[in-house]
Amino acid sequence: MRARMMIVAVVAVGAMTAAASVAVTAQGQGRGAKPAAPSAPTPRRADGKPILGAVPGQPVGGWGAGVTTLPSGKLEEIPFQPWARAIYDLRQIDQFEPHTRCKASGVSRQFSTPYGTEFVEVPDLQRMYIMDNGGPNSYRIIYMDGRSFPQDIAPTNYGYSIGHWEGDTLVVETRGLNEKFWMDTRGTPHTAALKFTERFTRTDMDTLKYQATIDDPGTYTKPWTTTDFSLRWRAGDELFEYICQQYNQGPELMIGSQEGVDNTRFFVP
Amino acid sequence: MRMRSVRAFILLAAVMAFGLTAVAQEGYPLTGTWYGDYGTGAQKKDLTVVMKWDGRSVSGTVNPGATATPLKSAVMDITPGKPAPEGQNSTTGIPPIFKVHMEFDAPGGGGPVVFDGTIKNPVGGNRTIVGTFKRGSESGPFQLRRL
Repeated sequence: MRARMMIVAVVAVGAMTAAASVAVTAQGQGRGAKPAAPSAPTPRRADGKPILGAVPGQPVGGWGAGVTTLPSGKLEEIPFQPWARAIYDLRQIDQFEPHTRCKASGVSRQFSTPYGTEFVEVPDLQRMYIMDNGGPNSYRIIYMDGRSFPQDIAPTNYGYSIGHWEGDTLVVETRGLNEKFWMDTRGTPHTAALKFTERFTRTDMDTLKYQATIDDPGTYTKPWTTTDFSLRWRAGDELFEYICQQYNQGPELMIGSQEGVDNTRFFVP
Repeated sequence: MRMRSVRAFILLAAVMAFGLTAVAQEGYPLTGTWYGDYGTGAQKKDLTVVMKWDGRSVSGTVNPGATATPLKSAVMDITPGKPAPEGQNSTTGIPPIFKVHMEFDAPGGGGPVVFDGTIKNPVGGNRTIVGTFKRGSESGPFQLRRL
């Protein structure tokens, strides 16, 4: 049900975007008009590093949803431990994801909401923030100051993220993740042993390539890497107030429909 | 009343001692703190089991506190399910079945206690294990709820 709602939402947003795009194209082109201009080049800072978020002096924007972690049609390539495959299969039937109950959901799950995601870079603090727009409406901190991971990290929903640049690619490793969320909308399981490495490359103004490597010996027999996903820039997208418990459009996924959802949990947000 | 206080203390000690484990909700299905009982009538006994998954095996403690005893074994036997065909309602899929076998030695030399049960709602935070136990010639139902 949740997946279906998500798909409908994404398709609807996509359809509206496509329709708007067609309308703009029709207005601007007409017979014999030139094709749409290619995307602007990757925006960069004075030091040459790519800007992953909004460009100073230009309208703010955000990245649309585009990551599912598991490559479609390649499920058999994922080195699940047997229990993990069974849990994955069960989650295809029992799709009550923590995110639908307003639980902050880290790593790749941040890039799967229809409201999009915003990068906020603060070079003076040597940090980046990845803002969830919608859902739990929270944020992840990426430390860019060259620090090492602490010895003992109390597991959290977003974990402890450290980033560095490899050429034009931002590489972010996250550890200290708890088990209270799904890392994608499909229910790919993980344990607290997860080390999650993401690679972000803004190939032009409108495209952010995303790839992740999942290293979790508690869940998989060996590390594995996702295929490339692309996020599309949505100029004008701005963070807005979103109180998950109040604005959630799937309340039956939060408190139960009296039929399909068990609502006897101790804590309901 | 005194027995209730003792039970509450033991439970509180278990949750405090294994707090981080107790809040884990969505990973390996056995991970966490489980509380329930086994036996019937006057023979019913409280049971707290704290389990942890290291990626290969489960370790744990039974009844943390003064009468704590290590968990000898806890294993899952999974019968694979079958997701619904593409385009069909997901709930028409056949869910996998998660069976559990646990053993520990009863405190005071009472011999091994063996539990065989099934996890109900294994992807839910409120999952339970329900089944039967055996201790010598004694047997009966048991139930555990994940805290």
